[in-house]
Amino acid sequence: MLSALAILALVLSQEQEPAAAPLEPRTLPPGGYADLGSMPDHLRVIARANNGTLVELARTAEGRPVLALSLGASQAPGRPEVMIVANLEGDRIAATELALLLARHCGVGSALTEVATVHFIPLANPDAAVRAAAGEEVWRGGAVDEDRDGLLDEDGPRDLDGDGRALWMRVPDPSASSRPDPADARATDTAERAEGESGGRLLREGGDADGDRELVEDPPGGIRVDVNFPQRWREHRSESGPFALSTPEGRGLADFLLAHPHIALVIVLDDQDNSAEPPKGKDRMERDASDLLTGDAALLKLWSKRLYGDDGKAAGSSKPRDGADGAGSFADWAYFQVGALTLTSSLWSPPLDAKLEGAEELPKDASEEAKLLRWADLTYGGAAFVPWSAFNHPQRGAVEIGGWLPLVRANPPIEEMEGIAARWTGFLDSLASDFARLEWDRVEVTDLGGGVYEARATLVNRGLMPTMSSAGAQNRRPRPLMVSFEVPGGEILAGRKVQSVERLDGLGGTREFRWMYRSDSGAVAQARASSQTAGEALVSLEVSR
Amino acid sequence: MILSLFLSFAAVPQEAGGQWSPRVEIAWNRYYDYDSVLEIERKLAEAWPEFVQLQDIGESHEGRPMRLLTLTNRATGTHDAKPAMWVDGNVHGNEVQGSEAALYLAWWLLEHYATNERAHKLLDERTFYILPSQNPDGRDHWFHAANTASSSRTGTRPTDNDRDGLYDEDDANDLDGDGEITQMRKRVPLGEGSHRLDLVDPRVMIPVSGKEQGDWIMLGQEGIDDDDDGRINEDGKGGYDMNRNWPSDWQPNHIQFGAGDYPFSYSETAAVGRFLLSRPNVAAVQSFHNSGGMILRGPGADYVTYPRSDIRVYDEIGAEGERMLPFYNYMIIHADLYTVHGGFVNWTYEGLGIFSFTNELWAGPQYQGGSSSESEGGRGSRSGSQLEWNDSVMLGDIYTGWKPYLHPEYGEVEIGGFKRQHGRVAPSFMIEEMLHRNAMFCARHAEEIAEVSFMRVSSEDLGGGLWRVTAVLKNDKAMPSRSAMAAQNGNGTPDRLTISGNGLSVIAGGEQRDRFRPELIDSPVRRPERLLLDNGVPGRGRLTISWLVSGAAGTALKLRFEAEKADAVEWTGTLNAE
Repeated sequence: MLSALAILALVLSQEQEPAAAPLEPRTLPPGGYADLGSMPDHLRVIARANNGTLVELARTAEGRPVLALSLGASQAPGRPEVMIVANLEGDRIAATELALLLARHCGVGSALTEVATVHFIPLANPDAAVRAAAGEEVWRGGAVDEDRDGLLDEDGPRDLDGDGRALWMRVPDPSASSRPDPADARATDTAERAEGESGGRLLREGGDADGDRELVEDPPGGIRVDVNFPQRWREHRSESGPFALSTPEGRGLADFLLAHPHIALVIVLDDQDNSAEPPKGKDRMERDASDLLTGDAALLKLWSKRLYGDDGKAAGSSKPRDGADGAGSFADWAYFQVGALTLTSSLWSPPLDAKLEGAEELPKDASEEAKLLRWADLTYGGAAFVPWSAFNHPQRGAVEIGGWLPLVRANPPIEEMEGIAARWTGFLDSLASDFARLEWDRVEVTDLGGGVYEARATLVNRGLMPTMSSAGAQNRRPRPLMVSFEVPGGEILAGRKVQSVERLDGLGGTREFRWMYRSDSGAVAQARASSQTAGEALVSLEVSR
Repeated sequence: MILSLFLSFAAVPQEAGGQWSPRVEIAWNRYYDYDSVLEIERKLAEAWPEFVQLQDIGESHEGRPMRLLTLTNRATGTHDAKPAMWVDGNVHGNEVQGSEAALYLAWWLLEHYATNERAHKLLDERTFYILPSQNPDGRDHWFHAANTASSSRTGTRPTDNDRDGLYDEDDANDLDGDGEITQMRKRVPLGEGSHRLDLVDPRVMIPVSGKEQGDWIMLGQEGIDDDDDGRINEDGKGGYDMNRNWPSDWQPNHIQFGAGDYPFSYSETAAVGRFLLSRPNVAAVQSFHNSGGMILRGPGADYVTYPRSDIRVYDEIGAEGERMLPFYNYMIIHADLYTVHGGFVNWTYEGLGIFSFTNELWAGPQYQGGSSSESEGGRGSRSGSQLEWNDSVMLGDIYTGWKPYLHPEYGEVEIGGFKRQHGRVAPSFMIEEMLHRNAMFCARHAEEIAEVSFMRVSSEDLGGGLWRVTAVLKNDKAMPSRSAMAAQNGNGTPDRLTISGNGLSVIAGGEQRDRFRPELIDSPVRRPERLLLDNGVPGRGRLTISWLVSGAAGTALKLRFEAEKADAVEWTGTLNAE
């Protein structure tokens, strides 16, 4: 069984191409990406062509719908479901793009929708995403009074130098702990103040609109949807929201997941990544847990191999965004509190450490940003970063303005999406044979005489996935497997009419059941097993010859 | 500006000589089902339309209105322009008397507005937001279905407590049809039991120990195995705890039973949450529960430390509460009772920075006094001494004797025990006292909301057009105008103190920490003409602010203090040396 899987993994894994400098500069994001403002239209077209349904999960503060597209729905009982959520942070437009491509792939006749219902939420945070794509790089929604002065969003980024966009400022500040990197003076590195180097502070381009002598301290918006979920929700941080699930987007996603107990797998395409290099996991789920459980980690390892072969590290990134450790995230909530098996992927990360053709070698101790610049210069012909230029700031005097264009660091150029999509369409197809499947095996009924019988039967899970995640078995949120026994007109002498089994492991997890019963009429007894993610299995307990 | 509409009070207090005739007659010796609670709210609104506004802030799961009673004299200002106190009860459906206590508070203040100076001041200058029941469905179910004193704590949203895919399918059953859920016991062969009967009073079950042999077992609450899963009463109506569904330190169901899917996942808690988040003027919270005689404050769990200055406020009001409420103890939830994650008063204080108490109404010993039952069980046993009071003071009214019943799973059993009106609610004849003392505890809490005034404002000519303006703000109440918890967590907007005058230029300003050293002010300051006072004006204390301003002598000066949880005050004068 395992070797078959290994072969499958090999077949599906993509060859890692050495990172090479493109001949032509690539298109700067969001160039080439689907227009986020037209997301409802994109989804409507896919739904119409594939017998899908569209449901509005939430309406954002700015009036945009958060839509779920469901494909492959059917009346068949016990059909497993998959939920694919993308771009909770808003600036992960590649995640949205991939989810759209996957939805198009999962139309009528795809391997996955043959056996499962798939719910796509390609744009979980449309307000932030539309703003990000428009160059604002504001990936927060909902007005917050960050500086607690009773005024809302009154001091945000502003274009000071008249180049049509608000980027970044380098402001001299002897107490700051950053400085230009000697390897690339455009990059910011940690200052070694002991050596007497002067510090600087990196701020969004802007002034002091409210006259409080603080620069850009109360920008528009403020609540991040992906820290607004109740697992390790951090109270009293302005970005967390006034309470968990205070955002309509968060609440809509949460209620959708809770209303679909047949969801066997949640895939989150955003900042977090547990699939490129799955962690080893822990055995017990503690309060405020953040570590995958070992049983689920093993499954993710298998899937990681399918996605990336042995080269997950180079292909994906498991490094979260600055400060993002999964606290308050949708993925952590879905896994630790709802108990849904959850795979997360950040899809892509720029090749910082790879040898880049045509690029000069950087010193060993070069900062991450210097490495990023080297890649970006090659990829975009220098267009991704606006060189710092001196500016006389009305409040701070001599500063520099320039820096990264929005979206560049979080998304690949559109030209790379084809390869990424190929990896993921193959993976989704392969999931079709992974769902937990119940079968009765080794059924034995013995006539003990006098109308008394003993029945033994073993329930087997033939799928790769367990009937419930290890997290679910510990938080006891998902419904366990239920096994019921019935003998028409008869009477149970030993055993239970209804019982529950917490879970069956994937790949042949078994559990034996035994009943003794009296049936004077000789009526045949029946046992029925049902699971929320693995469907039903019925067996007639005929007397063995 | 507060205008006093009634300048003189009636010479004789209404209650003197027992000659009082209330405008609205309400019997305070009984409990009311939810429809009757709504009816009392309606009567109060009808009798005092200028003081009472009713508003539905949401709906319960079964569609009952969550009807908030807003109480304040509208002639002296709108409700949201005054510091306010929130009072609620009955978040646990069976803990009914909190609703009556909340209603009693409104009723008593209204009835005494014209004759009692302090009731008058409270209704003129403060707002009370009173929600008699946070759980109308649980309340209705407790009154109208068979229950114990402790059941129907939950709301009534169907919940699959035993995770079998069926909802609320195995509740307790009123097997003997007497309208009560009591206990089941069964006689077994001698030596196989865990209990024996009390020799003097065979109603009392004595647990056996040592060499003693038992011939009875207890089988729990009246009920059968409705869903054939081998367990009895394991999935009753509802099955959650709305007082674990609030955002601060909320923990999921596997950490704490009944928490719900996420904070505010129930329509009832969401309605209350929405309301409180929209009302920054709420400065005090009281929540009524039962029972045990407690005045509780957080923390609910050992995850946070309360700032010392706030603890002083809690301790002062709590200690007074102990004197007002005989048999009640002022306690800390997690340290003295048990751990609560996501409790209501934890959220209102730890989350919102509002001074908050939970009272557990009704302390049994105040009724049973020095019980001395003759039975074996009576000596030190709860049920023995309570039975004595059933037999004497209540003439047998609160207990059903054991009667045989043929149980489908257990065979011959006996059913009997205390009825629901005993144990957690005061008996009829003691209700009014319980309500009055607790309502007055709220009134006292509300009286201690910060009241800030300008004690003194002076200006000193420093020469060359430069002046030092010094203002002393005082607050004689126990509560600061902003709790230290709110300051620490950045809840809401800090208090503001502005100084303005024609042609006045404000150079610097801040709190003066040493009264003899006027130059020692907090500096630098942002926008010194509009100071943000993070810690507000301390309770029973003063705050001294100094500004350096430049302007001409005789310039008209205006100082204005504004706070979310205290009345705004102004001072006007001129820039002049004293």
